[in-house]
Amino acid sequence: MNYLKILAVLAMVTLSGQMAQGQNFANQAKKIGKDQAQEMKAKVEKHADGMKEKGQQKVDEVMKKGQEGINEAKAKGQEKMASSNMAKPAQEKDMKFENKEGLTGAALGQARTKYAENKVAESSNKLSAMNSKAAIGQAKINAAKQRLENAKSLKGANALSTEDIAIKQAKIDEAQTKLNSFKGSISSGKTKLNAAKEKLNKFN
Amino acid sequence: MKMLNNLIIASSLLAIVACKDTEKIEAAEAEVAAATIEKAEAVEAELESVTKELEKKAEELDSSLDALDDI
Repeated sequence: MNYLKILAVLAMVTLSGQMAQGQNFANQAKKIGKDQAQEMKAKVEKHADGMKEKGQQKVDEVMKKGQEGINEAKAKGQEKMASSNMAKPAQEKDMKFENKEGLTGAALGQARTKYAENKVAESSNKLSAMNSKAAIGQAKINAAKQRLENAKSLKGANALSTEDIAIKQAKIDEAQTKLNSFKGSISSGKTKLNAAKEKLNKFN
Repeated sequence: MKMLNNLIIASSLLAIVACKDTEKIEAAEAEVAAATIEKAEAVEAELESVTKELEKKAEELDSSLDALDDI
């Protein structure tokens, strides 16, 4: 009976030792598992950061390309505007008649003629202003001619060389040629203006 | 009864003739308006070209006149 008791005690001691060892193993395994899990988590986070960064790069790239596309389209649009009527100054745009009142038939014809008559009157005023400009230009040229004549008579250190006189004379001649051409255009403008007036009067 | 019928027919005919006349008048007015617009645009284009030519020559003249200041 005692023998049996001793055996039982021995078995219990062995079992408890094995249990302790098992617990130890379990703890170690748990620790290893935790480390690995942390390692995995770190790896996943690192990977996620990398993916996020790449994603951001891609977004930036796409946005950059998009902006480039917009800029290109804008530039093309502006180019097109410059070559079309849209880019013309307001003054020129104003030349176009806009039938805002929604007129038709005879009323439209009359309104259109009236608008054109106003334009003729504006042009007539411009021609008058150009005439004044021509007169001022002629006076300026005459004054320059007189100054040159006076300078020609200078003696000594102030005397003009033949070359200087030729240069100044060329400037005067050029201005006179341009003024004559300008006067010619005014004259032809007047003729055209009168023809335009006649054309419009034929409709009334 | 027959008289009434004749009256209806006559007034219908008059209405049709009146409509036709109105159409003709409107068509003629539209034609004249189109011709007027065409002429007015031609006149304005002519004036525009005159103005442009004058402005260009005025600019050229200005630069030549400015050159006279040092004489």
